[in-house]
Amino acid sequence: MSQGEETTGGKGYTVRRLEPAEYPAWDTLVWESPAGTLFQTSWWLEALCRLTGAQLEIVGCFDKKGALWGGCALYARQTGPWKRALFPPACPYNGMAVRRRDTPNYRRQMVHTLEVTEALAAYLEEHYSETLLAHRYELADVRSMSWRGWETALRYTYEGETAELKQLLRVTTRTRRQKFERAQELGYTCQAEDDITAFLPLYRATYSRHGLDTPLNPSQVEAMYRLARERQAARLFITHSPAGEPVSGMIILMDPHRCYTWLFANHPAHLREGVPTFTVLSTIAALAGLVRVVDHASANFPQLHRSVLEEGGILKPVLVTHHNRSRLLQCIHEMGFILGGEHAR
Amino acid sequence: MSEEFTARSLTPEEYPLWDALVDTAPSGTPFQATWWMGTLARELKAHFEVVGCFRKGVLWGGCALFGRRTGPFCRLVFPPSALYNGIVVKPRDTDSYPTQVMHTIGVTECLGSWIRQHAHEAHLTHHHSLLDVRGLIWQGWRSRVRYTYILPLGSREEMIGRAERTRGAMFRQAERAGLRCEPSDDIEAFLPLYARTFARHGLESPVPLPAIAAIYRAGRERGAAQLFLTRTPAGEVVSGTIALWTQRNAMLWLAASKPEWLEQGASVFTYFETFAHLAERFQEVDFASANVHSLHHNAALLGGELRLVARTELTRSPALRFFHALRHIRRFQPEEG
Repeated sequence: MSQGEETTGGKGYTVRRLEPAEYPAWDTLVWESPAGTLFQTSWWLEALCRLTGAQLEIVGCFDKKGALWGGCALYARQTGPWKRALFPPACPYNGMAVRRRDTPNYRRQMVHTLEVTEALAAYLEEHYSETLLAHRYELADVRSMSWRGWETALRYTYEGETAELKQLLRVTTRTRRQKFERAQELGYTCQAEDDITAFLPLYRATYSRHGLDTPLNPSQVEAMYRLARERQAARLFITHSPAGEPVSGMIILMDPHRCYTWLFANHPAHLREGVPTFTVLSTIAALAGLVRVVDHASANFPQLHRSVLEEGGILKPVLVTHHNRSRLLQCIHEMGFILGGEHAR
Repeated sequence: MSEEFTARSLTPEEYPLWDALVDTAPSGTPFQATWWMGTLARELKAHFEVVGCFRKGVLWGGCALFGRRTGPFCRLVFPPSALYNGIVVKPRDTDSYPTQVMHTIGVTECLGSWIRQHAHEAHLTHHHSLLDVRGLIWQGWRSRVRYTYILPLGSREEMIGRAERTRGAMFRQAERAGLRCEPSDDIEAFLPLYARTFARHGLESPVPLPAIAAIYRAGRERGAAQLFLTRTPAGEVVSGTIALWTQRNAMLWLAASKPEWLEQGASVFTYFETFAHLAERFQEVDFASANVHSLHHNAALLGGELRLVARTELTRSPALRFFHALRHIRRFQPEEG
């Protein structure tokens, strides 16, 4: 199907791909949708797609009067004969954004969400061989997708509130407080900086220490960071050792709803001095007044979640939906399930 | 953390301990109590077992398991007509959120590991208050998103005010027709309605009628169930519901109405009257019905609020995985081309 073709849903909604000229309207909708995040904006995803060789496709759901009520920004890749909308690398969310109706009526709001998400799901089923979406918990109702045969899965994130350092230290566990105080006593300092090149070696070393590939290579991280900085949507916090060496860093992304701990890296030689906790708590404290809510992520990894939990994270659900239109792709996935178990599906 | 917990199958002598946990834990529901699942298993000739999770001799959680043997495979399946069969966790007496979260992970991880060792397949649907199933996911269980509707309870007027206007009108219509809904123990009067409701939709009851009667009677003996019947002024039974509860959670288990009385509001009337009775003891009732497209509308119109429910599944045997995958692929409808 070409870009202009449309799918009309049962409730009079029309879904079609947006033209680049319509992207500002999409970005506005992302901010108007409670489940919208920076990772779904056209500027973020366009740059990410360009850097990683994928294609940005934004689909919008319009009512009969032409008003945009919802949509989805897709990170699309062609794999052989299959057009697949995948999870974008280093992005916690790529789900649907739905603008709320101006009504206090709970049921009407729910029906509206069901109708918009159903229209979008129908379009995605028709135009993509496979679609993978991760929705924030504000869009907790994905029944219109599961009723259409989409697979669902539960994932999580940790969310917290920014506060002054004194308050953060009060709510954190005693162990974390001791770690913070140890780093402080040893003379570590954490501050907002713009020297991304100081962060990148830490980032590379952190992944390599865990035997993992980086989701984005350092030059891609740098490009995305600079782009977000231009839009005043990113902040880098670096912790220096008493000798002035950068030993820990965190990149925070911000949107009108909340901020996200996007990337976090530490020098292994300074872990025992409590540097990671020092960086996290100093960063969150520095954000107080700028944003209220911090999405920490990290809740899905047994080896990572505990530190975020102990630093004040509150668990929130993330809903993953997956649709597969190709029987061959389905067979490949099922083969992985047979051989590898539940995780492979 | 999980090293501190140990899991083992409970002896029948320990069932009162389990039932006490189910009764008071936020994630406990009547469907996990031994009177409910034990009766169902006896009626359906299925295997029933309770696995408990202990630390320092204290029972911190567990799971009531409903098993079926399929050839060489021990399968822990979802008990028919239940709303939940998941893990029950007794919360720790602490204000520390991290401690509580780690406790839940520890208990669920320990139980998940026990089930993994003892069953080839397991399906658990956890109460909506137990949404953190990472202790299972991290061991290779698959999660699925499900839902339920919760209705906040209050006075009739409050509840009708929260419902869609048409539901209020139906309630008044039934009132004007002189319908009366009262607690009753006449389960034999309810069963034909229940059977007809399924037959009307071309379905068979998930549980044979004698089993429903047996479960209801077991629940009544425990003081954890109540049938509500709506009668016409002539005394004809036209609608009914069965509510079940623990100390903390009330559930609407079964509901049925004569189709010719639906338009006169008999069903809506019975629901609100049932809710009004439950409001004397509970703040909310679990209405379920959120996962079935054809049913969810009614629950939403009555004022239901959506809650997420976590479902977890484990298929340990590659042969069983193969059969599931085959079924999955066969069910799959490609639309390419």
